[in-house]
Amino acid sequence: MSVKRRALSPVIATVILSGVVLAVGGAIWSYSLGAATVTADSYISDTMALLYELQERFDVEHIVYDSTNLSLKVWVYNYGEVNVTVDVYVTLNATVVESSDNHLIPAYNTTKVKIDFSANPLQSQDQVAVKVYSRRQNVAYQTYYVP
Amino acid sequence: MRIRRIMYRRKGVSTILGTLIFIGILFSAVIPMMLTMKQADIIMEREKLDLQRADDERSREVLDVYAYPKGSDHLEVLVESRCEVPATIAHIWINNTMHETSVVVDAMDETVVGNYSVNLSPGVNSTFRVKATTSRGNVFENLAGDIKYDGSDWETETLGIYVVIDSEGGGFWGFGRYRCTVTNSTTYYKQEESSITFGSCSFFFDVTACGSGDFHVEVEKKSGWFWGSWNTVYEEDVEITWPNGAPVIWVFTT
Repeated sequence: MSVKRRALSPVIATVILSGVVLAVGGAIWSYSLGAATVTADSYISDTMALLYELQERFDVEHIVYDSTNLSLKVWVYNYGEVNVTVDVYVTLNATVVESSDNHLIPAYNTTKVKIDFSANPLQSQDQVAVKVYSRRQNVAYQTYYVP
Repeated sequence: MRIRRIMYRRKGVSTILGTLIFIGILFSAVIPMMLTMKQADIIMEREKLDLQRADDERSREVLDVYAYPKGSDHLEVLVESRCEVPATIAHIWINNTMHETSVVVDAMDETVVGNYSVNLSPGVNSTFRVKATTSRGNVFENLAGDIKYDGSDWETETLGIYVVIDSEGGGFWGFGRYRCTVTNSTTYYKQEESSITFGSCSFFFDVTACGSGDFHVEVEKKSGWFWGSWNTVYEEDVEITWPNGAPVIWVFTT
């Protein structure tokens, strides 16, 4: 009798141990699955963000100063395959004099950015630098002489 | 003894379960994650390669843009390709007006991109700055500079003949000198000589002063260092038809 009972506790121990292993293992499995998914998603997201940053292609195509309406018109050409959001800064003697933010340029399109200079009109022969920053931190710039 | 054997056998169950869980995690979480990351890397590398190729094509894009009057109040824009990649003209700029287009200029070919109306007032001076933007983002200005309308006639900044000699050597170890002469039947005569050269060289003849008309281009080569004689390697009669055609003529020879 005592010999038969001696077998009970190892069986229970094994069942308990297996249960613990399954519970802990399942928890680790679940956590690993979640962590791996999050890590993979984050990696893909970062990679795609970098890819879009690399894919951005834009340039200042044309600039003209309208001395009647006191505005500088800047045409920015997005010749890349991703949409670009840009901020345009105009510097005179290394100081930003005017700017215009948040212009969305669809892929393969040109957008005209009109910058108001009524508060600070440019003079003839002024040399301004027009810098176009994308929200992904790419830059294009061009120098313009006011006629 | 039998019970001990049973107990001994059951000792491995947790280890087996643990191993199975480990393998399960490996196959269901880690390996798919690594495959996904690898796939993202592959997409990135492929795109980088495409971008490098596009940037390379952009840097190799060389176009000559000519604008000249067509009719009483139109400008015609001619684009000549001087590169080995086809180019698509996306915009033509005439002063501050953008004209959208999608004309393809094949490699080493020329194409009339379009005929554009301009505002001309009799007796009023007008200046037109023409440039073309390609789909790769390059901007090429009219090679002859600004076109002027003085109220009755058209003027351009430069009328000229551009002679390009593409030589692969020859003569004394490939060294030699080139002499290019451009004449017309009346007043124009100009001769230019290269220094000792190996390979390509070019000459530009500004003929603005004598205006449009027929010109004779002769290219001679002297092979060797100091000795040898001049031999004619190329002759061509060209005509500048400005304002009815391009103000600059290109002559290519080898």
